[in-house]
Amino acid sequence: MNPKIRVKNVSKQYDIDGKSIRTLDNVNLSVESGEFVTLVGPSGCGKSTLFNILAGLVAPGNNAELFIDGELRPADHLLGQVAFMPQRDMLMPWRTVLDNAIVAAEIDGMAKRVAREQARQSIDRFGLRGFEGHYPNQLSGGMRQRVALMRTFMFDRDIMLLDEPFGALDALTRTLMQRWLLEVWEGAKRTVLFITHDIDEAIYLGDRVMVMSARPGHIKFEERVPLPRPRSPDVVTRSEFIDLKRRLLSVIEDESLKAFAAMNEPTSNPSI
Amino acid sequence: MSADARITMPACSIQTRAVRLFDRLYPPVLAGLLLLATWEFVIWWFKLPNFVLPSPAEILVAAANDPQNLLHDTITTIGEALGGYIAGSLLGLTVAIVFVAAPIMERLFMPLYVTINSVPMVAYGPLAIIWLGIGSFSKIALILFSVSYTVLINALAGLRSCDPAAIALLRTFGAGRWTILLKLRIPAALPWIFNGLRVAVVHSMILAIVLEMLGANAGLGWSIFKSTQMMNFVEAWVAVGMSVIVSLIIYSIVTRISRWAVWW
Amino acid sequence: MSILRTAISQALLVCVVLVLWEGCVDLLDVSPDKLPAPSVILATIWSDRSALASAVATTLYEAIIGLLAAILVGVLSGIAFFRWRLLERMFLPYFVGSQAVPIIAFGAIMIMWFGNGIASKAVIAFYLSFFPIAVNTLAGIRTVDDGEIGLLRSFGAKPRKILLKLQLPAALPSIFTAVRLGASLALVGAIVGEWFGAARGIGVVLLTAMFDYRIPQLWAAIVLIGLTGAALFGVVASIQKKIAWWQTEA
Repeated sequence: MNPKIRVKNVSKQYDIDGKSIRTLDNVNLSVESGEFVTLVGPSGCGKSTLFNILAGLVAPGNNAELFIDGELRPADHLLGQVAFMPQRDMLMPWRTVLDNAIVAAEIDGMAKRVAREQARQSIDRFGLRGFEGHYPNQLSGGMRQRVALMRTFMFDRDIMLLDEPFGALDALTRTLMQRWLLEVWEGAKRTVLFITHDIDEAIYLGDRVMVMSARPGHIKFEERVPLPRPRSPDVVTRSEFIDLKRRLLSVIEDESLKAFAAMNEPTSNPSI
Repeated sequence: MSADARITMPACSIQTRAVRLFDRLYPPVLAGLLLLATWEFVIWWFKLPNFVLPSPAEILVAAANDPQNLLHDTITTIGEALGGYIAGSLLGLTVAIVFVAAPIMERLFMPLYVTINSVPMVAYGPLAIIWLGIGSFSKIALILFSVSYTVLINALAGLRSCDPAAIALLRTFGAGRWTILLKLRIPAALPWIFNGLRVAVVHSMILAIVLEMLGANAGLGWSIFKSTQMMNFVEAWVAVGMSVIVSLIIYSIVTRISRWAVWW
Repeated sequence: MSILRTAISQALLVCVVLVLWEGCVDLLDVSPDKLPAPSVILATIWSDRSALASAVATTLYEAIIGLLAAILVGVLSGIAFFRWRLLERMFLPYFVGSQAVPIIAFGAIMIMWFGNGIASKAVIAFYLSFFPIAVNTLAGIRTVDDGEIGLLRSFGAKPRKILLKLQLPAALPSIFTAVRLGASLALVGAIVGEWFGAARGIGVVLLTAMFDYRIPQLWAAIVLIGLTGAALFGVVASIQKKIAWWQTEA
């Protein structure tokens, strides 16, 4: 059975001001259908670049091969194939919560009325009952992320790419959102790739955890998460959790130090 | 999960709303009354003749004395201002869209446009009058030109204010150029565009009046000029007062429309 | 494209237009009554240079006096509004509202009160630029949030010190925005004021050129007014760079 996503030899190089910066170097990974894979790595390692490539926004290097459902997809045919959620919620301030949620589906061709109806039916699942008519500037950070997630879920694609969706939230809200995300995901088994820089989050959420190295990024380490689903909140105290965390920490610390050293060189550009 | 919901205001009773409104209004109203009182007092204390400073009552009486001419002047000025304003706004918006769709046009024409507009518009007044006469047309033309520039630079800034990440996101949903323009660029530009429209409407009234003072057949500015020439200062005050009132009304209408169009 | 390159290419485009203008006037034999060639305009400026220079100087003088007074009184008013909330609630609506109405129309009355000389024009320049400066001073002072004020108070600072050391400096970008606006308003006020009644000034030159139907001189005045405005704006901008270089608002 073919993996849902298969990434082979993805590299990416940027040329800025005459200098060439390799953000990704031979990334290879695969994700099974319905799997929730978390991706951790130090800042600037190219995680977001990888997502941009998978979403079709950026073209990968020449030898790259991207397979979805076992079929080789040319890089310029990826736009609109996956449900992408960037780090910032990008809600449109002139649209209500409901209308923001349906944006992706609307562009995909769904009739506004139908989309709105569908959105109304799942509004409870996303905890936004009563706020359908509110505008983004009336919502808290956690609610805005939920609207963005709802928008991502309403875009009917099997694959979801979530780029640090909870990064800007405070720790308490983040924990609640993690639990809630797993609930929603259990109800609609999409294949999820989730970027985070929080190891606890990576282990708590994922079926598998992958660690990306410092720039130029490649998959340095990956491991299955040996914890049962559904994940209870106290799973963070289990010995399997702590063992995995210990292993991940040592790998990531190496890479973080490398990334930190690279950032403090005068010639590097960490903002990629 | 309403733990992180924003706290919404409890519904206000009519009484609280009335009290709050009164609270907000009484200081400026008080200031206005103080101003009127000081006005009357100064006239009385210094025994000022009415050609230096007529009393508010005298101005109102003079206004009521000749309503037709006043109305005619007012309508002339409003016509010039709004005519130039509406045409200029449409032109400015159109050019903005053209410039965004075809940047080469902007590179070719914008420098000239900017240079011409770096001179205060009133300085072109005499030129407009010589080229286009002292009728309303010269005013409308100049106002059209000035308004189009204001609206253009605001619209350009607005159309370009879009976050590239937002555009990228829409592309991942499969949106094409026109969808992005319609669903993202234009709504994002609306606050800027309406800001430009509000600023421009003030300019159009100012230009209409100033230009009429240079040469006109009718209008509030012409009335001000004519009255001062003929030493009929009370009439001048009437025209000035009317200009202020009319401008305020037009400005609030445009502001209302802005708030309706940019509801977020 | 760097800023220098864009500036150069724009200047080049303007030069191209000027050359085309010169050429068209020559080729199409446009009468100098309608549209004089740039060379004619420049010649006019040169031949009248002393008269024009003193006219520009007069108008500039009127505008600058008005602007300086507006800065002084405007900033003080803004501070007063901040200090006494009742004053703000009473008068700020009028200050803000004044920017929506053609208060330049009061210029005729200023001329009547202050005569045909420089004073009346300076008064017009003053009141045109005064209101935005006052409003922006207040707004600028308000950009400082309570957290920053609290911090200084925890160091034992008294309100006046906080005003001088924190709030006024924080208000500078906002004030300068209003001064830039005020500079163009003051110039316009001086010119239009001269139209109401004056013997000297570039506004007078412009008006006389219109009545005498002397087009090259009219264009000369337009060009000079444009240059004067740009120079005034440039001076304010460079002072701003020196005093308030940390720009938090455009």
